[in-house]
Amino acid sequence: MRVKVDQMDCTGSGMCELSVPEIFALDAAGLATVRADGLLTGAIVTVDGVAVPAELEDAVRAAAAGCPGACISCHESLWRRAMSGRPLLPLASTRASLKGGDVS
Amino acid sequence: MTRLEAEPVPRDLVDIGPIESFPVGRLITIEFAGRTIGVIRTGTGIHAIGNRCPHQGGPICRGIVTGTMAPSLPNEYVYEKDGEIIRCPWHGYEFELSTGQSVGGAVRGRVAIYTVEARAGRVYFALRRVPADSA
Repeated sequence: MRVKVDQMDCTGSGMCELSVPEIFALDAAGLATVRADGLLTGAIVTVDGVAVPAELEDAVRAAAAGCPGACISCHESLWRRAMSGRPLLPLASTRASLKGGDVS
Repeated sequence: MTRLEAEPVPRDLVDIGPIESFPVGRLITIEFAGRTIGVIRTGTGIHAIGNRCPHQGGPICRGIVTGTMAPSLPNEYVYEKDGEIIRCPWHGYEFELSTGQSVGGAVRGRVAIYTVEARAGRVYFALRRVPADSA
């Protein structure tokens, strides 16, 4: 799985850094960024994102789902996702929160 | 003959309408590159904010534009920054429209602030973050 942060939407709440400090950090501007080989990727938004170690994938997914700015995106092979037993599409509740819908 | 030319508009600024369509104190939402952006004129200028509250991602552009109570002595009530604050509709956290910062530092992080300018009666927007120290 690969992950990236779009700093255009980041609110700098730091939830991702608190959840998975191995992957996320806030840069000097107070915006989230992804660590790659120990370095901060900053505002660089790569097409493919940064590879996530297998043992951190669930934590990164949880961080993405809980991000207030909805600026963390995870990309993974649909084949691997299907083999892992997870749904191929996000759950309805996740989609609603990503769209910024009302509290229900 | 010399003709005075208007200052050129930077290439990434997009005309989003006449300034009359952005009444002072009323937040107007626009859709831009898949994002909902709130644009509002206040007494101090014109501001563009993202639609996510740093607390839990609430749709902050649906919040009310208001002022806030300043710290004061007992039995004194000081209301300030009227029209400069937006209150998130989910949990009531307040943020400054000019900087995106939480009032009183109640919430870590800040509402995204984007570049918006008024030029010659038109309002221009760019999907470009305004750094926290210059907002």
